[in-house]
Amino acid sequence: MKNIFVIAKNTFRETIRDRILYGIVGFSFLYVAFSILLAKVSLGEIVILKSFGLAGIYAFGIIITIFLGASIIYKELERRTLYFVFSKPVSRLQLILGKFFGLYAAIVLVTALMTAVYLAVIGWNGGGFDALGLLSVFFELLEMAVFTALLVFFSTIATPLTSTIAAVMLLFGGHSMSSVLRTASQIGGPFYRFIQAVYYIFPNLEKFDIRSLAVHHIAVSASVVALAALYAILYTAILLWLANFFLKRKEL
Amino acid sequence: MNISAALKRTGILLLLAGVIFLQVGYDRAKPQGQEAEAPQLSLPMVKAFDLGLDSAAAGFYWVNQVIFELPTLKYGFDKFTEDLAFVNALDPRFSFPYYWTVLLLPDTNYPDAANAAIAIGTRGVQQADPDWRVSFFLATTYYLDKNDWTNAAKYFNLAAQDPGAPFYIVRFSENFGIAPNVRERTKEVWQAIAQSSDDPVTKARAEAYVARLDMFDFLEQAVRVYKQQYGKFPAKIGDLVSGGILTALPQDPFGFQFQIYQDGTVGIVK
Repeated sequence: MKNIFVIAKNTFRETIRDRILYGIVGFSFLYVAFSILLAKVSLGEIVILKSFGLAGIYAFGIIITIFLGASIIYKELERRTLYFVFSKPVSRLQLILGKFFGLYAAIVLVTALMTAVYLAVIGWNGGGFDALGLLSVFFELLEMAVFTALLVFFSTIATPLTSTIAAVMLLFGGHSMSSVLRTASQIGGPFYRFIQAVYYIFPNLEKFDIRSLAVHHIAVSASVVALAALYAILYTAILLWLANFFLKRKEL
Repeated sequence: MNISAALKRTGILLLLAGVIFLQVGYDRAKPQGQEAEAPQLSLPMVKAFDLGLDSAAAGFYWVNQVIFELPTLKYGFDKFTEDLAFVNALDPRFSFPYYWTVLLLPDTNYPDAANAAIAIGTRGVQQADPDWRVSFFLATTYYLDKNDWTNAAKYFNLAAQDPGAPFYIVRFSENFGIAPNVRERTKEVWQAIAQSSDDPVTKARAEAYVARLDMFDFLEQAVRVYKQQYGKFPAKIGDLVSGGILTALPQDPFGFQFQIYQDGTVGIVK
């Protein structure tokens, strides 16, 4: 446990010192200014401000995760710093978990900062305290957990570029599962059964998207929150286990 | 070669000025033609690539493109209809496009604009977030463009019930048609709604409107009795009680205070 904490702490420090992070966070604040301008154009329509704010938190969160996560294990392999880590009593699993929690903590911190700005902007524009917006950010963080684990997993088996491409494809695929399944059901046959298998096996990220509901004040039930959280925990655990599995088989 | 810092700064400023100058020059020199219309996007394509950000995509497309089409319909009726349908399909609960269209469309040269606005507004009332602006502007369209008293009363009533409606809208909506010259007509409308409605809330409110319109008649009757007795109209509504005409004033079911105008008609306190 202590090893995991130490690796997580170092990964967190390393991540928040990354200059790319500051660049992206800077852009996210510019985006907030753009959202306010857009809301002014739309006569202060709060729905536009909310939907753009939540979209920005999500989009910048994804960009940050991809930039920081795609090379998280790979660069340690390239720099051969893993030899040093493994010369200590540290297991592969502890390294994977430490890296994941460190990176995820940095993502949570940046997301929390963006959310604080978002809540302040909404409150300033007469939208009050956006509790449902906050819940949708919680759902986004669940998605980020799965996505971070996915990047940690890819990072153990592929180069950063390949990891990024694969993760982005899974991101779009994960958000289009329902429509793909609907289209496949019209075709039917073995193709439909194959898509059904993909639908259930691959990460289905649509359940983490309650932004459209949040901007229209539509609450979600406690069971939806619980199911989404359990799905995220389970899928993250599977991906981290797979990352550990492949890292163990890697010749160092 | 040694270049001083001041010279470097001047050089950078000159280069920036050059960039701005070239952009201005380009804007002046580029061919001036009709502005190309934005392509109609495919809904499944947008939904596939917007990562579930349908609401933000609808808001962006609406503010960036469609909102500016409406006043002049510069790309034609069909393009506007397609664009609006696209925004509505992306986020059917987004109320801004509905009320903005209902408000502005009747003043454009859109074919059969009032009916088109009514169709869009009705869709908005059914699909969008509850928003007083959709029902209020729909009611004004019915009232001003179609002279349809029944639907105007129905949608004014809906606007008044929205929790976000400002006080002046609630006041206006709940007092629609109380003037003596139109009161009978308004009463008939609410009686018809009370008799035909299956919704208990609508039925109760319609009955309250009828009872309230009767109160205006009742108070004006009392004012006339007061004038017969005292030779002048009462200065304030309380004079009806102090003058012994009424034992108590009726309570307005919508919470407004009654007042008497100089001609003896009864209205509400502004």
